[in-house]
Amino acid sequence: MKKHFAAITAVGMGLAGSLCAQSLYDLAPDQAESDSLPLTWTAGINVGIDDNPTPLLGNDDTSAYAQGYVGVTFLTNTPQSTLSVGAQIGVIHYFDNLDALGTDVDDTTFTASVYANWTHRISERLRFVSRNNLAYELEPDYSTGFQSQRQTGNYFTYSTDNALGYRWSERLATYTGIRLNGITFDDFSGGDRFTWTLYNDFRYQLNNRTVATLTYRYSETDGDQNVSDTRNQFLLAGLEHRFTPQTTGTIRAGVQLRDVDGGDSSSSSPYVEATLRSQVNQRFSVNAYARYGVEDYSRSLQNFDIAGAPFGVYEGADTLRIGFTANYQVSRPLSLTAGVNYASLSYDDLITGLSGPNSASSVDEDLFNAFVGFNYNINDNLVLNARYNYEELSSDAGRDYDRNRYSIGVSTTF
Amino acid sequence: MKNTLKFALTALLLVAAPTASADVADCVNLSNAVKAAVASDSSRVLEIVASNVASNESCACEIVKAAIVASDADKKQVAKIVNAAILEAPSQIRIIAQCAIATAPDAVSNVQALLEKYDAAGGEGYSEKGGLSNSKDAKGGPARTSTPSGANPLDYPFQSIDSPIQKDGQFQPSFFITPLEEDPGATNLLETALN
Repeated sequence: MKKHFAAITAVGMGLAGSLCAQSLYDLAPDQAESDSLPLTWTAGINVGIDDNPTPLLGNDDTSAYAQGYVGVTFLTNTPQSTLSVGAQIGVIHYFDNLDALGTDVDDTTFTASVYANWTHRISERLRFVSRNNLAYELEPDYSTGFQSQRQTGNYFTYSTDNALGYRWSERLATYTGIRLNGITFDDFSGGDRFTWTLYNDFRYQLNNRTVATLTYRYSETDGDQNVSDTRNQFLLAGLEHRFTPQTTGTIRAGVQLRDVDGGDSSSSSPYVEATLRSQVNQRFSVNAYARYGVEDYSRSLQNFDIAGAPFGVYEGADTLRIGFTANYQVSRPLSLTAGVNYASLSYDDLITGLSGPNSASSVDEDLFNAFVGFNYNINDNLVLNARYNYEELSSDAGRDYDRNRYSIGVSTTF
Repeated sequence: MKNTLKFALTALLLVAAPTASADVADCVNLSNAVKAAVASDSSRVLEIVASNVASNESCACEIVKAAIVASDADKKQVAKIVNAAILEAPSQIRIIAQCAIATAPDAVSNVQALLEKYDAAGGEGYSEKGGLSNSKDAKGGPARTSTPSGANPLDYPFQSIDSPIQKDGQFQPSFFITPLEEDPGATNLLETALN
């Protein structure tokens, strides 16, 4: 309960400061808001069925659940400055007593999130961009690129990305910034991470539609418990291109240089990240991302396929993440939505000095998550929504699971 | 000498007149084609404007006018049409804005707001006296210089008036996706689609 209070307090403090949201969908900041929006409140409730509430721990008892939430957003936009902020708190309650491996799991969890994006155009040449967010959540948001399984218990993520942009000439500009981000888990040992990153983007305007980029990043990540610290450098070349007025894409590709404490030696690997956004027509929009690289978040796991279930620590996980969301407006009140997140992880290069005996030299896992649903506007400010969410983890470490969730709810905006 | 000059000027006018009228006729024909295309599929109005302005910058005015009329655009849609045209022909920003305002005077504030965004991004400014002016005359912000392309390398590709998707910043609870109607831009698209 203390952790709940601390998270909610942190969110409250965040509201007073400057905070926001980032995901793999959002490689380049979305500064597209054109109109200021007044303070807008959203509140809603959902009820549903979850057939595997503690998936990694093998308890697949079905439970009904209910969720309530209230949120607020605000956007102000002037030629010099754009500020968007939002916050949300919620609660999720499972009606059955949940337990995992004989230990009780909280049936009721609180959630809270807050974000703030700020772009300030100090002069024609100088610009400050800040993107910040905090989230204390139960369900993973795979599009953030942090997680690859649904853990038991809540997690707390935070990120602050602040950059100064300077236009050196008509065509050349740079963004230089620092990003601090991390994740901590309530009930998952060895999963906490903190990363600080310094970066510089060179941006060259090739034409009205295209900006070429050259990016250098240096980051250090603190591990947790047996998981050692790492250092990464990225050298990436990229393009940001507007295919049509309503379709834009970003791609960056290059090399990732990596050094792991306790590892054999420095290594290098290819790195690619890309996004695509399109309002295909007035009714249909799609948003997609892809990323391939070596990640620091999933570097350790307990292997249940080996006697004694040893805890293995690896130098990194070669990870491919792909996802999309799509929305189709069937009629004025009815819209359909669907999405997929896929992550393929290869835990490589076992660090024997940090791992249990007989740990596997490498482990592969694949996560597939998909959802489909609809929103139906009952009237101007009341929306009925329903979702089906399927999730499957295939693992060489004997922790496969699948999970089905069905929910229906209503929300109101005022 | 005077007669020689008169004959020369007359000859020049006779040669130039058909060329000029041909250009006008081309723009009129193009305008009619744009009207027909938009009328047949108003959902593609921005694409139609973009592709036609890109290949016929000198007819940007007629194309924008035709698109506004044929799509029966409201204020926000007028701004989107203007934006699509400016992105393809930034050198025509003044004429595009003027033609749009002449066709849809109600949308003057939306078009001005759009021009201010370009102004803030390093483009040209809009004078409070009612006409387009060089940025050094613009009021209310730091002095700005225009660029030949109108683009600013500090801008990200998604920084346009017409966001291609819903805002990432919108909160989406774990089991809830914000309906399209809650996006003001999308609402406008929907209105256009269903009317």
